[in-house]
Amino acid sequence: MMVCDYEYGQMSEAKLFFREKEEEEEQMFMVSGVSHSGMEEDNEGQKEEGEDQQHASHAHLLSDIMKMSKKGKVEVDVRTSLAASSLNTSHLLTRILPSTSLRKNKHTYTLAVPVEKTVSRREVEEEAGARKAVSLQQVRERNRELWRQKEMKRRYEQKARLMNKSKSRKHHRLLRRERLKKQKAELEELHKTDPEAALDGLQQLERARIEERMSLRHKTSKWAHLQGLRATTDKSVMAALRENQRMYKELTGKATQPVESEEEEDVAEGGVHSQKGEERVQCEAPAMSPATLGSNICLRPRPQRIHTRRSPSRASRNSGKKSTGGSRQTGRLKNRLEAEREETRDGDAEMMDEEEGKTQEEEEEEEEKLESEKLESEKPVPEGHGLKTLTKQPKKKKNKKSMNSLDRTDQDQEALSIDDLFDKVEIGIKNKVKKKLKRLGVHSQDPWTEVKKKGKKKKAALTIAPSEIEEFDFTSTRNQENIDETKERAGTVQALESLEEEGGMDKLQAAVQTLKGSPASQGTLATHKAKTQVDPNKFLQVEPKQLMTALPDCVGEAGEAMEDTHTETAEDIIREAFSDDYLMEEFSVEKGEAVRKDQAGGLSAAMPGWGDWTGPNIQMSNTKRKRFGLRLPHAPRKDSRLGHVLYNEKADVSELPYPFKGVKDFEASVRAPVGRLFVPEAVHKRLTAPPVVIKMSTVIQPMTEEELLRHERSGRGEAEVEDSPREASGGTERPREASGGTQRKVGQRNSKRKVSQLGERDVVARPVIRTPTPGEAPEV
Amino acid sequence: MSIKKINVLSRNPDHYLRETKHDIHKVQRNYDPALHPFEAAREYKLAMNSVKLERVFAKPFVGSLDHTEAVSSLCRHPHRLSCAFTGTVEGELRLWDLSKKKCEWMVQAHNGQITSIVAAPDGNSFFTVGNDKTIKKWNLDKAKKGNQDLPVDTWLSDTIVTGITHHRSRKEFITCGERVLLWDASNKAPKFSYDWSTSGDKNDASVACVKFNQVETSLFASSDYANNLVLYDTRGKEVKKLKMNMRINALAWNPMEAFILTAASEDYNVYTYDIRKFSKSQQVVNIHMGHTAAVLDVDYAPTGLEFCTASYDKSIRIFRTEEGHSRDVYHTKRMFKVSCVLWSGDNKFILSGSSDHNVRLWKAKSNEKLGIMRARERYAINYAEELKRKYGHFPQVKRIARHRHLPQHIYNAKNELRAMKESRSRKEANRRKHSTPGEVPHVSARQKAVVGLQDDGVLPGTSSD
Repeated sequence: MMVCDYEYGQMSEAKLFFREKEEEEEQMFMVSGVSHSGMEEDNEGQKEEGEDQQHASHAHLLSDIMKMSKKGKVEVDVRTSLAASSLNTSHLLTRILPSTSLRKNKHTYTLAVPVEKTVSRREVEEEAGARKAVSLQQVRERNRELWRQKEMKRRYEQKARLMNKSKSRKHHRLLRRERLKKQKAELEELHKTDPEAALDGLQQLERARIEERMSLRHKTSKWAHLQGLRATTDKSVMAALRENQRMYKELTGKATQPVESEEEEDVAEGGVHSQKGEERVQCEAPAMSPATLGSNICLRPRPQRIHTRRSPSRASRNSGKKSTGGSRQTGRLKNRLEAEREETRDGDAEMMDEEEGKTQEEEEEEEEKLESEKLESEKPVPEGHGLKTLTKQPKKKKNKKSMNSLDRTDQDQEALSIDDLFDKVEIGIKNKVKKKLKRLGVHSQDPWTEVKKKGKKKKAALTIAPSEIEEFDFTSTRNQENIDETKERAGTVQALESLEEEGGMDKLQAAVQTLKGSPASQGTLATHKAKTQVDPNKFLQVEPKQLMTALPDCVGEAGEAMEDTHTETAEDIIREAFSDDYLMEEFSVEKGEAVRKDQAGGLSAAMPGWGDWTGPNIQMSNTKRKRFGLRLPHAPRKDSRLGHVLYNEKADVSELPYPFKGVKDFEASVRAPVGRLFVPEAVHKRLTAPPVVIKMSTVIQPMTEEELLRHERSGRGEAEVEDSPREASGGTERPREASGGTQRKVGQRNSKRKVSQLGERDVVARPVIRTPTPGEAPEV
Repeated sequence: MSIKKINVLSRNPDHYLRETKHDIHKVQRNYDPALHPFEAAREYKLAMNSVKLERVFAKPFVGSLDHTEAVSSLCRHPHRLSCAFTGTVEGELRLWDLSKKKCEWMVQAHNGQITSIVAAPDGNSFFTVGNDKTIKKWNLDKAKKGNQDLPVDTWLSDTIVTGITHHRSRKEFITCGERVLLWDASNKAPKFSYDWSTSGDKNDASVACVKFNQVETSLFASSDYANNLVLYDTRGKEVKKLKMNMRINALAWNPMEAFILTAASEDYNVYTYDIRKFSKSQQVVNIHMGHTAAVLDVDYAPTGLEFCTASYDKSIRIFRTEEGHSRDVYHTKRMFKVSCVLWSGDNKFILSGSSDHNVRLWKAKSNEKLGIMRARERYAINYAEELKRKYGHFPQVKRIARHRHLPQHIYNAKNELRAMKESRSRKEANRRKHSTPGEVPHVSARQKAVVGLQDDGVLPGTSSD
């Protein structure tokens, strides 16, 4: 919204400016089709205002003119440096235009300019009369003034041109810094005055981030390249590169579902992420994204020491310093207490709160230090923007509480509206939760409604009840943890009088129990985890597999033990080593291509010659082909739900091949490997031995009767003995006897060999041929 | 801080370095299947590659032996691999050194076509029969000396002789023509005549082909122009007579399985019989289809696993004994109708004599590498073969393995035949549908080809001279 306005303003300003210039040269007043009365009124107040605006600030004007001279780039500039200046067109006009036509134009520029001839002529006459009326002195003064303006403009333009030409990095950096500062200030200002516009600004920021992400600037910049060359020698450069890498990850990390990510950070992350050292960076360092920006703003400790929600990571860290055992619990408790105090504002509760507050104060000082350090090191973020939460689902009570606290101190009216919003969203959430519970089978007792009712009875419970709901945030990723935490919290909170009477608590517990117990909940939990962690990191998440080997594991703990001073873990190193590989991306590209190929095959029912010409060298138009295109429904790909799997459907065997008795057998035969990569060499040779081996350069004589008769005489036993070496060894020495595949394999091999040995075997069944009686036999 | 520091295992170079470049060092591998989750996928890929390579290296043609006339008969030496005889339609007999592709000896053996050549089991003599009603015996040693254009021995027959076959061990041979005659090499007159025509019935057609069983040596089979397939036993008389729908041009016994007889039929098919089942209804155990014209000759591989056929459709096909369709088809642009085919004794080559004055030498396995191989290469080939077998049922592998380029006339004829077959089956189905149940019974294709067993108890008159 705001941006659009601004751009429009810019353009119209520019137009106006040039129009003005012309008019000045002609010494004429601009004439437009606006109502006369308004114009005349403006004319009267003109002079005083014109005087005032001569004192417009140099820098301001300079920047404006710069932008105007960069006509083409204006929009781009605006986009990246969103809401850079809080320019109003009126402001600008007043500054630029020297005199009379100012007010009038302020009205006119938004309107079309249909000039009626008669009217204009009349006006011209009038003004001509007026001009005649002025004295020579006045005319001179006026001319001088005009000249002065012109000269100023010229100078500014020149300066701006020079500035544009400048290639000094330092200069540009300074400019950029200034611009950012200004942006922030404006955003802050805007937040106070116009929260919606501020929101737009934030969105603009987000957009900038996205654009930066798309451009991959941080990955591929020339600077990074050069630094990479230097990094081998200079350690500081290495550090800078690492920082760049980190920034890149932040920027490129997909900010999917900001609500959930915020949730993660706010509600659930706490202990878990601090435990996982590698993810700390992620939750500590807020990117430029509005989500983190918003949360950060909320996190900002107030000088008045109003209780604020602390960042979970920090909280855990602090608590980790103090006590290892129940650190999380106490942290939670504090949060809870803060909330209580904020919400209830009851006299009896305040005693305890103050005690708690005292203990907190020290921590919060530390927090402040940390925060300030962090904020200095990174980009400073304007404070006092709780706005972000407006758009988000305000599931988190804490968020809301901190919001409220801020709002109460800063602006009360706003808080009201925000509260309304929260309530709305809350209702939605409750409905969702209800549905989920129903699905899980908690029909009879609806804990939420119960709590809600109770809350209505009580004085301050209206806000407490939702806070309870927050704790059972089913959409949160760390659901299980939440549940655990609430249990703990409930245990400690029982000490508090305010919560003692709540019977709803027990019901909640019961509900939680049912949720925990039901397999469905676990399923949902898993899916949620999967869903929220989708964060399709393009990078390989290396999880070192601990093999059951006797070899010393130098990479893992042993390596760490060897060098204690080294703070980085082996996993970090590996992760870093593989960070540049686009394995996942490559895979996804590959899969995408496969899917596309699968879908390709545009069948069309379009007939040539209908609606257009046809002939040997005439092709149907694409539009026609598309219009009659058939979209045949086909079964979804088998890997459509498997993220890291590319399923080759072409390799599906549709029919059971002949020698196999069942699908299982066939599958087993395929599954059993025969290569030397997968089975020991001897087994490999045995498995791949050809069924028939032919000696080179040897004539294979037909089967002889002697051979057959010998077999027949000796009977089956001898034949089996001949078979036995291969068979027996195959049976006993086969490495994976247990798996069905090899067994099948044995059987199959037998069947295969049977063909070659059929002559030997089936000789037994030979004498079907009717042998003649001795008398019939011819003499030899 | 260093860039990236990865702790690596320290290894003794002796354990993984080779002393010479020919050493194959043992690669330590963990065969735990959990560590190789993609083994099946990888082997599939290997199978795909090997089947593609198979097609890449499928170059079966080795060479050709030029003649001045169309080749009508082929014979291989029982012991020597490089030795082969060829006979032409103009009665020219040639001895070839196959390894050099050189004609060693040539003689005008008969006036008219040499219909058949057969080698005696001793390997030194061989017999030819021609249209001039003579049976001639030639000596190999004399032939090798050269300038010897007279036969060692000659037998005169009163009728045209169309085929000859020799007993595996004894000095007996059987000729066929209007009569089937058993000869003793030491005697100028036939020892025994298997003669149907004396009874005066209609079975007086001349015999096209006769073949001794190499395993059950006293058995032999013949096929005549009255579409009969007759089984004889030299110890007694003819045993069975099976009438087919179409004439059988050639016969071949499986050299490893005594009871398997394969016949090349005029109806484009090759039939395999189990002679043990001749008295039952299912004599034909397999029909091998694929040719698009009459099959003129058939010969078994010495392993008994495969046979090759020569056809009027200018192509050779190789069948596996247990499969109904050919494993491979060989053709060249200039090869005309193939009248005779021969599988070499070492199972490596196929010879085909065609009416374009050529005998062509083919590899029996089109992608096989000839010559001595190192053990590793052989293992690799074995592995590839095993993989192809293992994944042979997978559609992509199967498609590649089966794909053959066919000359247009075969391709079109194939399509036409298919259409005809479909039409016939459709017609039959319609007839069955519109007639009373049971009137048009289902008859299997194997039974359809056979008219029936002519075991009518009529014994031919024995006319021993």
